[in-house]
This record gives sequence, C-alpha cells and structure tokens, in this order.
Amino acid sequence: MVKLTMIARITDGLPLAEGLDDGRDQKDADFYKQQAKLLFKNLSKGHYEASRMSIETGPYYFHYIIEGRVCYLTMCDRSYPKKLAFQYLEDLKNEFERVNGNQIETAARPYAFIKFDTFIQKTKKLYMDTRTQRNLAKLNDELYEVHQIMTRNVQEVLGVGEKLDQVSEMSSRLTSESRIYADKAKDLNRQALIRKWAPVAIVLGVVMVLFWVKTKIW
Amino acid sequence: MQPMGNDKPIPGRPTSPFSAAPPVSSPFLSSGPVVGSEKTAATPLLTPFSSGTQATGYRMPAPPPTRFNGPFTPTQPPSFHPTQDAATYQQTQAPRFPPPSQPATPLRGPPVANSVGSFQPQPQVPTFRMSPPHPPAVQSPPGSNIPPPHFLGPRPGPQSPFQTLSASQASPHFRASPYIAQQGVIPPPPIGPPLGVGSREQMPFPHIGQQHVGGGPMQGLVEEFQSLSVGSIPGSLDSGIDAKSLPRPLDGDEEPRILESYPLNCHLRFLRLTTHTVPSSQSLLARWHLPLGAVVTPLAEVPEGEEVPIVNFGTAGVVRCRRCRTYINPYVTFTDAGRKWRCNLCSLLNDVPAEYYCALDATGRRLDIDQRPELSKGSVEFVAPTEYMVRPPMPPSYFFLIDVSVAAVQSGLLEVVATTIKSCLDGLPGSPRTQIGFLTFDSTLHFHNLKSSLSQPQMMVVADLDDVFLPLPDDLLVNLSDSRHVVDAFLDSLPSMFQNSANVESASGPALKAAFMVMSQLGGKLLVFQSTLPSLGIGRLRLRGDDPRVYGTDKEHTLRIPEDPFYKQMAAEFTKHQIAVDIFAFSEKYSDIASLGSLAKYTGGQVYHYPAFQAATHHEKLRYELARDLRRETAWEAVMRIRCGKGVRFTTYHGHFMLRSTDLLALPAVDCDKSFAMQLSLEDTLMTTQTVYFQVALLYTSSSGERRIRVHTAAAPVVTDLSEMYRQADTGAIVSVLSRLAVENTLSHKLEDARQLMQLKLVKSLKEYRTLYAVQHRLGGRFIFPDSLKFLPLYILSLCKSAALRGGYADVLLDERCATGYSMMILPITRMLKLLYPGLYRIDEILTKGTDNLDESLKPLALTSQCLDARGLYIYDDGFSFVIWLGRMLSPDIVNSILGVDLSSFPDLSRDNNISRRMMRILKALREKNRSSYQLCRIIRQDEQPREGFLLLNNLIEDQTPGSSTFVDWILQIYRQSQSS
Repeated sequence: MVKLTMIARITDGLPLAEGLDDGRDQKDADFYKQQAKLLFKNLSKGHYEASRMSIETGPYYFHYIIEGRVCYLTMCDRSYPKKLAFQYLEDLKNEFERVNGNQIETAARPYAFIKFDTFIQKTKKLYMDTRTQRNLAKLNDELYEVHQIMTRNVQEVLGVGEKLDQVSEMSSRLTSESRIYADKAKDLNRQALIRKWAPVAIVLGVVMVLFWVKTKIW
Repeated sequence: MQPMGNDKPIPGRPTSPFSAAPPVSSPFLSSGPVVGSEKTAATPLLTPFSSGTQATGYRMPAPPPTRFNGPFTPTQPPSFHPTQDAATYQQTQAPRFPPPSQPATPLRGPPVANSVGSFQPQPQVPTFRMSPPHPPAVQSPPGSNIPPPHFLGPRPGPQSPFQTLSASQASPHFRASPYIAQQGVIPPPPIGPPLGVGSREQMPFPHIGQQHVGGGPMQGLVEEFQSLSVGSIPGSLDSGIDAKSLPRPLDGDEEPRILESYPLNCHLRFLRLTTHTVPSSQSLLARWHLPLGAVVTPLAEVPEGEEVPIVNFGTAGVVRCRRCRTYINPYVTFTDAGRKWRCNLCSLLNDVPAEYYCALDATGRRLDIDQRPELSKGSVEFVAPTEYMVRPPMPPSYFFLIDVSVAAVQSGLLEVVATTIKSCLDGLPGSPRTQIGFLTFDSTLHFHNLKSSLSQPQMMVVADLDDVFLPLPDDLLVNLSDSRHVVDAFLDSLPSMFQNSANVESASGPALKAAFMVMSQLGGKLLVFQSTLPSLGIGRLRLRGDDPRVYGTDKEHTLRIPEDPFYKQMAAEFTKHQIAVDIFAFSEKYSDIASLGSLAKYTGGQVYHYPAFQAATHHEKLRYELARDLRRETAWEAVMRIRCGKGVRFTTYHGHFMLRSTDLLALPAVDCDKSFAMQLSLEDTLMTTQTVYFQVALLYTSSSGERRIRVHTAAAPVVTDLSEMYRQADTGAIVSVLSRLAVENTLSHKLEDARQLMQLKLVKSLKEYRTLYAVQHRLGGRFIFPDSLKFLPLYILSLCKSAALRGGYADVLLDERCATGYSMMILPITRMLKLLYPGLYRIDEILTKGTDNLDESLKPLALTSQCLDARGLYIYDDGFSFVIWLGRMLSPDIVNSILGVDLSSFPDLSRDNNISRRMMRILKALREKNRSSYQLCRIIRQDEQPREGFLLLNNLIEDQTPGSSTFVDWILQIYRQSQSS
C-alpha cells in the first residue's frame, strides 16, 4: 500500500507536489518524510546512479524513478509488489509530464504544482488493493521488467554523502594538525638549544663581568 | 489664575508697532513650515524636524534631489495639524485677528508680509494648504465680518465649538486684558505664563511653552486642542452646553494622515497605532492613560489597483535579519557598497546574500530599488520557500456541521443553508483542490458518504454519543470537483431529508468531536449551524442566565464565559490541527453563545447570531453572510507575529486567535473581516532611538495553495512630549482597542465595572491633558480635549451603551450581548466605529424628490430623538442591520408606495414605483459601504411600543436611557471628573 508520494525537481531538490493526506494514521510519517527530503537533497547534489531504484528503510521501501529531471518517489510497505509501485510512479510520471511538462524548469516556488495532488490521490486509490483484477493483470504482465532495479539500504544511500564529507573533514584536520606539529617541533628545537647552551653562556657572562669589574677597580 | 511668570514675557513685548514687527512675525513662522528664528526652530519644529531628518534616511527611495532640499516643506503641515481638516485650520486663523482693535488690523498686514518675506522666502507661504483663506482674513475689513467665512466648512456640527471659542471666550478675554490697549497690534497672550509655567512645570516638554511664544497665542491654543464652554454662566443651573455644538463623528472613521509624513509605511487599513508616536520613557507612558498599541487587519480589503505586490526571492531565500528575524523592508539601510544591510529593528549589520546584491548609488540607495517592491512599499508578500512549510500547502476545506433538530426544520433554516451552499459551490476558493464535507446531527450523528463513484450520497447514522467513531475512513471529506454531483444531490435532498423529524435534542458536543476526527488530517474551516441549545452528550449545556438576581453580583461575569471547559479544550484541539470554527446560531431561546462562541474565539473564527431565525425574513441576510464567509479570500493555516524595535514590546493581544508562544498568534483561518488589537509596553526606562519600527508578518497558505508571507512595516517617531502623543492620537484605533478591553473586562467583571473602567480611562486621560494646558490658558470653566480625540468622549459613551456593555439583565438578552461581544473582538476599525455610532439619515425628501448625488443627500444626523421628526422617514444603519422609522405624520403617499398594506416588520420594500425604486437605491448605496454583512431592513412606526424603544430609541446614543445619561450630561460628568483632582 502506498504510504507517501512526493514529486521533486532533481536539479535543486525543490518539491513540486505531494500526495494530499499521506501519512494519515501513521505516527512516523514525519520521520520518513524527512528521510525522503534528505534523499532529494542527496540526489540534487548528484549522488545518484540509477534512474530507478528501491531503497529499504525500516518496514518500508522507497521507490523512485527519475525522468526529465523530476524525481517521483513513493513509500510502500515491504510486502507491496515492486512492480505495482513502479507502475504507479510510471502513471504519475506520464500524467505529470503531460500536464506540467513545460513548466517544470521554470517553477520558482515550492509545491508549484500542488494541484496535482488530486490526481495523485485518485491514482493512489487505484493501486491501493493489490488484488483487484486490474492490478493482478499488471502484476502478471511480463512486459515491465523490474528485476534489474537495484535495491539498497537507506543508510547506504544517505551515507554516501556523509562519508565523503567525513573523509574531506578528516583530511583537512590532518593538514591542520600536521602544521601544528611542525610548529611545535620547531619550538621544541629552540628550547633544547637554549637549555644546552644557557649555563655556559651564564658562566661566561659572569666571568666577563668579573673581568670588567677587575679592570675598572684596579 | 495667572502665575507670576505671566509678567515675564510681557515686558519683553515691544510696545511700538514697529519694533513689534519682527517678533510678531515669529508666530507666523512658527506655524509656517520653515524655521525662521532659532526660538521657533527649537519649538514646534522640534518634532517634525527630527522626524524629518530620519525621513531623509529612509525616504531614500523617493527621488532624492527634491527630497533633500525641502523634505519638511511638504511634510510639515500634516505633522502640525495631523488631524485637523481644512475647516479646523481656517478656524485657527480666525481668533487671531478679530481680537485686536479695529485699526490695528490693516496696519498689521504689511509688517507681517514683510517679515515673512525677510525671514523666509515667499514660497513657504503657499505651502500652507489653507493659505487661500489666510490672505482674505488679513485683508478683510476689521472685526465683525471675519468669523463668517470660517464657517463655510463642510461640517456644520463640529464647527460650532469654534464659534463659541472665538466669540464667547476668546474675545471677551482679550478685551479684558489690560495689555491690549497699549499693545494694540499684538494679540495679547492669554497664555501669558507659558514660559514661566512651561519652564517650571514642564521641563521635559520645552516646546509647549515656547511654541506659544512663537506661535501666536490663540493659534497655538486652537492648534493644540479644542474646548467646550461648560457652565458659562456661573451659578446657573443650565448646563451651558449647546448640545448642537458637541463634536460628532458624523463622517464615520477618519484616518489620521500619517502616510504623508511616512510615505513608506504600510497603508493604515492594515495597521493603525493608537497614537502614531512612541513615548520615550515609562513615566511618559504612565501619563498616557489611554491604551498604547496597534490594531492590525492583515488581510484588509484593498481597492482595485492597490494590491499588495508579490515578491519571490527564489534561491536567495527570504532576506531577513539574522538576529531578530525581521523581514527586509523599505526602512533598512544598505552600507558597505551594498554588501551589508542594517536591520532597522535591532540595528544588526547583516550580509546581503550574493543573489540579492546590488550596487548603491551616490546617496546610498540601491540602484534596483524601483524594481524591488519590498524596498519601496510598506506592504509586500513574499513567496515562502520550503523552510516555511511543515507540510505541503493544504487545500481549502469546508466542513458543515448542521443541526437538523426540529427547530432548524421548522424555521426553514435547512432549506436556506442548503440552497446557499449549493449556489456557492462554484465560487469556493481553491478549485480544483477544494474539499467539502457534511455532518448533520440531532440526537444522533449522521455521516454522509460523498464518494465520487456514488450517484447518491449515503447516510450513516451513529447513535453512540459517548464513544464517537467514524463509520468510514475516507469519503466524509471529499474533493469537491470530483464529487460535485454527489454534493449537489446531497444538498438537494437535505431540506426534505429531515422534514418529518420531531427530534428536539441536539448532540453538538459529540458532533464537534466527530467533525474533528474527520478534519484533523487536513484542517480547514468548520461551519457550525446551531439551532438549539446543545443538549446531549459531552459538552451539553444548560439553561442559565434567566436569573436576574445574578446581575450585579460578583458571579455575573460567569454568565458570559463558557461554562463547560469542553469547548475551550475542543477549541485548543481545533487550532492545533488548523481548523477554524465559525458559529451560526439561530435559536430564538437561549443557546449559550458564550460557550459556543469560545470555539470561534480560539480558532480565529467568527460568531453569527440570528436570533429567532425565520427563513422568510432572515433568508437574505443569512444567504449573503454565509456566501461571503465561503467566498471571501481566506488565508489558511496562518501564524502572525508583530515585531517591533528595541525598547518596546507587544504584551497583550485581543481578538480571535490562539496564542502559541508569547507573541505568535495561531490563526487556522483569517480573512479581510478580522482584525486584531495589541498593546505595547516599554521595556527600558528611556528610549534611545528616534524612531520605532513595527512589522506585522502573516505566514499563510493562500486558497490557491501558495505559501506566502505578508509583511506590513510601519515607523513611528519616539517623542518626549505628551502633547505630541495627543496630537498624533488616532481615535478609531483607541476606540477599537478600548472596546476590546471592555468586552474582555466583562468576562471577568461586572458590566458596571467595565463601564466604569472605560469612563475612568477617559477621565484620566482628559485630566492629564487638562494639566498640560488648562493652567496656562486659564480655561478654568472650559472642557478641553485634544482635537485628535474630539470624538472620544462620545465613542466611549456609545461603547458603554453598546449591546455588549449596556445596562443589566433586562436591557439586552444574554445571547445577544455575548454575540455582540464576540463580534466586537474582531471588527475592523471602520465597522467598529459604525457599530458604536450608527448612521441616522432622513430620507423622505430624497424619496419624494429624488436626487442626483445620493452620497451628498444622505446627511448623517445626530443620534438623538430630537432629530426625529414625526413628518419624516428615517433610516438607521449600524452596519449590521437597518431600522426604518416611519414618523406618525409621514405622508401616506410614501408609506403606500414603499409598504403598500404590508404590516410585517420585515416587509419587502421593492415595489414598482419611483419612490420605492429610490428607496432601494438608498439601501443599496448604504449596503455598498459595508459589504461585510447584510443589513436587513426592519420597519418600525413611531410610538409602536415596545419595538420602537427596543430597536431604535435605546440605540439613540445621545439620549437618556434607563441607567445612562445623555450626551450633554455625559460631557458634563466627564468634565467635572476631569477637573476635580
């Protein structure tokens, strides 16, 4: 069963539309919405490979397709057939492109196509029950191939960006620390020098003073 | 009366006319726009000047070359006479000239002109707006004929006080003065002591005294305040007040002219301050006994062509101050070659986002200022980026909760509601996303399945009131465009569905719970149509308020607050889920509006009350108001915050909303008919800045599904002087705040206490004002008040006589009182003033003779029964209803042509004859002026008791009603109290 539907522009992660009362009677809806938004952010940074992907998160799957710089994402139960989920997204995509295709690039405000939610709502209802004749037929239809779609874990996907960040942070920390180390080494070197020669210098100084005093008085 | 200080300035006065000339000139200059001598420079110009200098700072957007040379020239007249209109100003000239002895006047003309010329370039004189009347006054033959030209003003009523002033007070006084004889030329200062008094008693307010020295005594005097002769003949019993001469707000609301001095402020229809100044210290605020605050109507209706511009920052995000989160506005200043901007509220230096950067020109203005409305307009709307959304913009959704108990069926309510909703379906905002749903209830709850695939709606009855559940998970709130045919079918069948019902019970509480369950996912607007007292299930209410003994005791106020905490809890839940509740109450009997209304109070809703609703008579009103409620532009899931500069803080808020944090108003729905009042307090003891800025920000979702931020910015000067506060006072805003305070007061105190509180505030403020001036001006026997507040005493009187505060048990039905109270909490200023001082027009002449210009012919009359002529036909308009009063000796022609033989009290007035057509035109014209509600016509005939008294005579505010005084008595009372120490 479809839990969440979101459509966003991939170039900047701007949300374009969202299913209306998604998340009804679901307490953790906000958490998964947040995750989906993170996903969009990652996608907009360019951390993505496939145009179709399934991502497992908790008891659910995110399925998304990316087409024409728009990402169509839905969240379903694990038990929900992948094939239907992608069919659903495919339907949304076709309609969305038909209705708003030419304005996608120019949309300037978030949820510019919120009116699309009525269609999302209607389509969602069609896919609600996997056992309807229509959906069974779709399931049996071999034309649409979903086997090669990759499945990954959400931590992995969201982690890609994080890991890169970590590496760069570590390396930058390394450079700064090595610089500190060099400075400290220089400092130590100088201190050692002082410690070595200071007594000699003092003795010499005293002798010189004595000499000077001696020549002055006598 | 005259202190010793009196002598000081007088000897200084020149004794010969020639040497007199230069000093005399200064009076003129002082009122003139530009500083002539340093004396005047320091004086009245002080405030305007300081505001002028600030003005140059923020007036940048305007063309700079002209601004720099003479920014004060255009701005000063208004700042001097902020609320005086043409007529008043003419008056100010008048008293100056008549008093001097006859021969002096011609002599005086030339020196004046010379001196003006010598001190200042001529062009200054024309900057007087009222200069035309000025020269005639100088040149006109002496004495007697001077006053007449000054009474040409458009408003005969309010002008008379001047007459008494110049004739009865000013001239005798002058004549009596011993100085007149020798000085001749110079208007002797009746305020001789100003310097002495001013310097001793009013150290912090130096310019009062000086102004009079510089500003010609009488002119200064009239400029500052108005006065009424009270008890002119000592010892006589006659009050001495000419009732006709009392000031009356016959023109309705007068907006102060702030925009002329602060052109970058948002329009006054959005934000009005009670006084357009901010006191500089706590001690000054303590002497200002009126409320200091603002009245905000964030979504006020704008005339065509003045729509609030929409700004989209795109990727830059909304530009705001880092620290205080102020939105960018016309008063911010750019520095560092345009890379930084300084916040005008907290003066923090912020970086300009790279996308928003623009170079500055030589004067420090941004080059792109003309393309950026947010930098040149006081009101703008920003498109909110995703950070301002917790969820996607909600669709407008309307849920109707309709009481179908027998009362509703019998009164024909169901039919009216059903047809009205049906006719509005096409006009509902937000199509095609609009959601709609219905729930009907009597002793059970009836859910209606409106699924789009059905051809007929399905009704599901839930009888379990203790544990309400939804029989269906979906399809109770449906998309209107999808299920349109089902909704139509439902509305068609609704009136007949319950025709045979004999159910008298009403399970409102459980129905509200069910509605909440349906709506909680989305939010939206819940319209409750309540015909009887909720009698079943949780939230059942009992009959109360029928005990007259409670009145006058400490328990009286409990009748006006919700009895059952259920309603308040429910309201809190509703607000949390972005649901606004509008209550439509129809019962003839008590239905506890106090409890039901609290649902509207905390959810940003509104209470409509139609006592004893009968479809035949009330249908037009309900139809109009329901349609307006459904169709008007509504802002959904809104929050509002008002920010202000350092040193001041908004502390209390009044209106229909839920306070989410200390200063965030949660408004599930808000529209043009709602306004909010708030009060300011000073934080620091002394204000260091010269100007305080206010910014109202309303974050909302429009019906079209856009998230927007509407921002109104305004600036007000900080003043150190109480008289300046009085001068800039805004009666409308003050009355609006006071009436909300009064209504809130009735919820915790007795009615009598609330009335007394209002009176006390008025008296205190007038007393304070009196101490400012009375001593200097020797106005012992006069009632003095600021020109800006000349209507305040009358408005306070009418507030005390309004349905929310009037009398006691028997005077107003409890429900009506509460309903009026709830409306007064949200009314915008203009409608509030209209409700407090309704219009009364005599129209029989217009009806018989016709008129070309209807607006001019409809002359508002004073609200007293003395104005009612038995031969006349009058119409009384309080913004909510019309009362048509037929005089006893009214010509039968008129009666026949408009009424025929109809004897009902809500007759149909449209007939096929000229008089009736004219009548309809008048009604239409009056309704046009106030489109927020529909004014239903009631007909009453003279001496038709008790309806006449109930509907009209009790509302004639200036007359004596049981337990309250007439206007004249009231003025006397206020005068006496303000005089006693």
